[in-house]
Amino acid sequence: MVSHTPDDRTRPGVNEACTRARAELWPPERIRLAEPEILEARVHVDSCPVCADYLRQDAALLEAYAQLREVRTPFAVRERVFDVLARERAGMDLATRPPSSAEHSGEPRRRGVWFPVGVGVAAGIALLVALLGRSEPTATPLGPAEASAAMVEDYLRRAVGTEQVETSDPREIQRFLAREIGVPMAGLIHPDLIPIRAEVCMLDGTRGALIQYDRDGEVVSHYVIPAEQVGPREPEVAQSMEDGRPDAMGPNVVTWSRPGVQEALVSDLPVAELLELLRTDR
Amino acid sequence: MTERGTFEERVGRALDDLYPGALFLARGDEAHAERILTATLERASRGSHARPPGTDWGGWFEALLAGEALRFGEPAGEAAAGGAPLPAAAQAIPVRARVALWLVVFRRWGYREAGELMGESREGVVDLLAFRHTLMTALMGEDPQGSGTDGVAHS
Repeated sequence: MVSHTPDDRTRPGVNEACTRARAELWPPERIRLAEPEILEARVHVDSCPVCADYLRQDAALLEAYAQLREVRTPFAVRERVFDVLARERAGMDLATRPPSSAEHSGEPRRRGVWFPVGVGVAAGIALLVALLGRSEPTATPLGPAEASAAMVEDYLRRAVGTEQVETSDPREIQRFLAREIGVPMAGLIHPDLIPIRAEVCMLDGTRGALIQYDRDGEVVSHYVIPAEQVGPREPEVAQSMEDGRPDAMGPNVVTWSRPGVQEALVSDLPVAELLELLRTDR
Repeated sequence: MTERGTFEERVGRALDDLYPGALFLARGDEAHAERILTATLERASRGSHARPPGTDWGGWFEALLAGEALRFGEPAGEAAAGGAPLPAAAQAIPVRARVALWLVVFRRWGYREAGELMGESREGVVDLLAFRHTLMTALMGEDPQGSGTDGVAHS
């Protein structure tokens, strides 16, 4: 940014020398060579109470602004801003997306063709379908537009989220989940699963948590979504949303629930291994 | 300054820089600050695809925020009592002066760039910046004589 010097030459008490000195010395934080005009300006400021006061005032205002900058964006504001952005982006995606030949031909849509977020979205869409389909058995599957909007929302929240913890300590994860979503659980406890992080996520307007584990170099994502009306349910392999075909592209998803909480594992690991992780945990 | 990442990641990084600015520009009215911030980022979202490589995203967001503050004008309601001292002090000065002060004094924009953004001449920016002393007086209760920046009526 090109900076120009405040020019108060028309103000009472400010003369040409003041204007020149301020032009040389403002902004004061800029590093300058000690050239003759700079030295002359400094001499002027040292002897001019008006200019000295001017620079003190500048510093005081900057200091006041520095204090204001300590105000963090409230989480609720952050959420609302990104909700608006998500709607904006989802609308733009739908408005600008050219019709694909796959849609016309009825072939399964390849992930990432018009929504360039990648595997995470495919996983999330599959999870959304799995969880929402489970909680509302009569609901029709989400269309691409609905899934897109919901997953844009979740992607944005995770891309910019501030509420997260990076830890391998299950007790820390337990505290995080209790604090953020009111579910006091420590995630999955399994000797092969090393917690990496936990963060807030948002699925279809419901605030939940995503815990990620390392399992021999593979990331396993564990969604924990509070749901008041949900009772216990044994783990089931969820079908991908891609035409409901279990062999369609996308990660594997296993869902289950305990009273008041829906959960899912999403990973590229084979389904049998995901189920095995749950058997050991449960 | 060039930044890497998606638009949303850039917004995420910039948000905590922009929010205090929005609070100042909204003279401490949190609802108004959120309105201009949201409008800013909506506008940015629509224009982000057209930004050239090497865009100074932070500077662009600031320009949009200043533009939205001007477009929205003064908040309709009174600012809430309490809060940070600087936005509270900003109630003493009009929105155009808040925008000029925010750009030049706080964000170190040049007079020319600020003037171009605001549709003001350089002299117009100088006049608006004279409100710094009104702001300082409201902030610190300083004697209004001394820095050579007073003498502009509050309009």
